[in-house]
Amino acid sequence: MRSLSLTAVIGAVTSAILMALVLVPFGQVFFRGALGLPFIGAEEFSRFLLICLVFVGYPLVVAADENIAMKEVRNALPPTAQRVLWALSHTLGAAVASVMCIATAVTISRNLNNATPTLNIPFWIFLSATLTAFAGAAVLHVVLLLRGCRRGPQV
Amino acid sequence: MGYAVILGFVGLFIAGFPVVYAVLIPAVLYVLLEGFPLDLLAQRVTYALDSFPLIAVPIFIFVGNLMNTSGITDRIFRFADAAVGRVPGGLAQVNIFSSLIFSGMSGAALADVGGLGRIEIKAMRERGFSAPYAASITASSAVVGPIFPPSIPLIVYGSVTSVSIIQLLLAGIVPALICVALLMTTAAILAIRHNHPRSAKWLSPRAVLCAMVPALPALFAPVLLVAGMLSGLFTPTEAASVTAIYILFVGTVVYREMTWRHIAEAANQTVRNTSAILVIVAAAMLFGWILAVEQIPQDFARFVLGVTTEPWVLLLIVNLIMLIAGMFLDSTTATLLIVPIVAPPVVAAGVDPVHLGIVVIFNLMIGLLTPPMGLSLFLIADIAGIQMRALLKALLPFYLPLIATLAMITFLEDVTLWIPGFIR
Repeated sequence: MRSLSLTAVIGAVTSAILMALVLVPFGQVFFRGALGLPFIGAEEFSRFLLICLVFVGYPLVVAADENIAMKEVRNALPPTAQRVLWALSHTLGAAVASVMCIATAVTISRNLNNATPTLNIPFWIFLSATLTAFAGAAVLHVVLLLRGCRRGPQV
Repeated sequence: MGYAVILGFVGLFIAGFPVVYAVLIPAVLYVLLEGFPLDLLAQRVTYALDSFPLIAVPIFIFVGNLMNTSGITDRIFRFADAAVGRVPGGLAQVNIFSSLIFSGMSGAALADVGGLGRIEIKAMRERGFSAPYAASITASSAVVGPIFPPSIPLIVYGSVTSVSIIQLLLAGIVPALICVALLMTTAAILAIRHNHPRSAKWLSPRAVLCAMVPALPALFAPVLLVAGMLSGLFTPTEAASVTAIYILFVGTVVYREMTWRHIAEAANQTVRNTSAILVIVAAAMLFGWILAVEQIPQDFARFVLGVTTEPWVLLLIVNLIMLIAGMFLDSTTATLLIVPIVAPPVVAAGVDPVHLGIVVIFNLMIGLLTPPMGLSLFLIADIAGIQMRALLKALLPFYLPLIATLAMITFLEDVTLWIPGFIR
């Protein structure tokens, strides 16, 4: 239930980011075309929104098992081999996501005073989406691995 | 070490690991073992997405998802039925024609298959077409989507190779029209040979007009998009945004069928689709950096240019590589990982990068229809409820027009470069 509501919250936040991502470039066209005014910082803000959308939304992809993969070869293997590869994929997924998470935390800690050039978005905010993505992915891979070990993997 | 990273990716990919981890695991190991600073991991991955052109990707995915819930898809289908339903092949022609119109708003083949495809297959089966035939024509006509503007694969290609995205999008128009003409000809020949059903009579111009009027707002979207980009009014990203706002306006105000629930569902689906695709773009940036550090593209260029410097031979080699790649990799992964290695020698030999882009993407789209990793095949077989073998058998005649289009795109440079020539 908790995981479901967390998914719903992430879904709502990322949907709002998507709407903003649609509106900002449109606003840029409107300001330039209709009002003859520049929309200062629109491009930088849009790029920031894209980073947020992709990384904050990534745990949803992991939770829904919608990562792009070629599973045809794995599915043709005997069930035991399939289970081993499934477990290995979640274990290594959790490991590499953890390394990425630590690397992002280190990068943030070394750049606490930096900011983006036009809008002065603090660097730690810029990278916090990446941190969220990999932290969320690492936790979810562990959860899915443990759940699979208890109930049998969905291979 | 660079080749070990590539082998690591191939091994993990074949073992069924998610592409993003198949890319990241060997890349992260490389960075750690070679002693590069840890900051590099986060910075490369994050800044891969710090790109204005890539913003068009989620917006066009959103447009595709919105169209399937806004009543636009149905109206396009009804208009196409009125316009070409009497041509030999009947609904098969309608299917191909609607795909062309739909692709003028959505940049993804799978959005075409998943949205319009459902309606088309159901209608074709009701009119007496076999399920495998209906599925095969839906899958083959969906190939047109990613080369007709807008196109998500072309935007990803442009952002990887730094080729003008506007020129790439415009370059796809003529090849898409040729492909549609050849597919319609094939459907007509098959219809005459197998006596396929078609509309009983040609509709009067007035009846066609009556079907066209409700579809007009939908038909205007691709015109707005292409005219906006050709006139320099919008960049591709801005064009995506304007199209999305336009579709929201048409769905809510003109057709009044789009509700908040539809928009929320489309947004939710878009977020997951976007993250699944663009997180690979982010990881591939790290991978690309490793290839550059290890000078692998230069090695490949030296090797290939040592064999031949003939542009058409190099294009044949590209066709072979990308066709095989398309059989195993999805288009985003193939574009991100193979194009940076393959493109430099071909461009160095004098092939126009815009022309090369269309050749590459069309090959990868044919890959959507080939086993073992043909995403369109899986989706369409699932929608139509048929066996893969039956689908592949029904698809066989349609590979011919697709290969013929590919040959034209490859060897007749003007087919792709004529329209971009207007803005060069």
